[in-house]
Amino acid sequence: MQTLISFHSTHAAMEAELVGEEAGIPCRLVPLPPAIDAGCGLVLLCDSDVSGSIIGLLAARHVPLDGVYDGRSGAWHRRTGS
Amino acid sequence: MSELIDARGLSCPTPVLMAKKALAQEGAQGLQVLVDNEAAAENLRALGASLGYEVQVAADGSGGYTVSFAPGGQGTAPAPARPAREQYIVVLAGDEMGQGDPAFGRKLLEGYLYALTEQDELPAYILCYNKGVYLTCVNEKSKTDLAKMEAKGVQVLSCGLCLDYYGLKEQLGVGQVTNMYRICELMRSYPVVRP
Repeated sequence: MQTLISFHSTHAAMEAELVGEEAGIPCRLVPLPPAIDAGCGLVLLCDSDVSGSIIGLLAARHVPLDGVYDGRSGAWHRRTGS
Repeated sequence: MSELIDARGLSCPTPVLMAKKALAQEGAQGLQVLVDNEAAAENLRALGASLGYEVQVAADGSGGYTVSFAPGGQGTAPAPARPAREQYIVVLAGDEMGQGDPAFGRKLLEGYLYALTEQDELPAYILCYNKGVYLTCVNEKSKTDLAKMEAKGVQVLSCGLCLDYYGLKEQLGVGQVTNMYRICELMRSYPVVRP
C-alpha cells in the first residue's frame, strides 16, 4: 500500500520531498490525484510502511501537513485524524 | 556486389546519412559500413531495419564495427497498430516543464511523467533530446516512470549526439539511442506533445 501526503502549499510539498530525501526515505512528489481533489497541486507519495517516519520528520521540521491518504492509484482514503 | 563505406572517425549522424544515400541508389545490392563506436552501429542497425534490410553488426574487438546490410529482410520497423496520426509522441527537450524557477520546473516535469504513466492512451514514442536526456540517464524518478511505460510498449529514444555532448553515454538507464534522422521522421509522422 502507498501513502499520499498533501500540503497547504507547493513550497511546503517541495520542502517535504527534500526532508524525506535527506533522510534517505524513498518518496517523490506527484500531481494531486483527481480522486482526492479536482484542484491542482503536488503531493508526496511514499510506501505506507515509511509514511510514519516521514510524517514524524515533517513534524520535527515544522512542515505543516494538509492530509494523509492511504491506498493506491485511483483509490485513496483519507487517514482518520489527518 | 556490396559497396563498402569507411565511416570511421565521422560523427553522428554522418555514417547514417552516407548509408542512407548508398542504399537509395538504384540497383543497390547491399552495403557494408565501418564505424568506430557502438552508437553509430546501433543507429545503422535501426536504419537498415526500418528500410527492410537484413542487418548484421560485427564487432572487431578493438572498438570498431562492421555493419552489413543485405536485401531481403522483413523490416523490423514497428508497424503502428493504428495509423500514426491517431497516436502521439511526447518530446522531452529539457529536464524542466515550462519556463520559470528551474527547481519547480523539474518537479513539474517529474509530475508530468508520473501522470503520463497513468493515462489510458500512452504515447507510441518518447523522444529525449538536449537536456531531456538527463531524464533517461540521471533522474531516478523519471527513469522509473519511463521504464514503466517502456514495459507497456512505449519506445523511449534518446538522442545519441546529446548523450555524447553531456557525457552521459555510459549512463543511459532506459530506452535506446537514436539519431536526428529518426527524430525528424517521427516528429513529422505523429502528433507531437511537448510538455
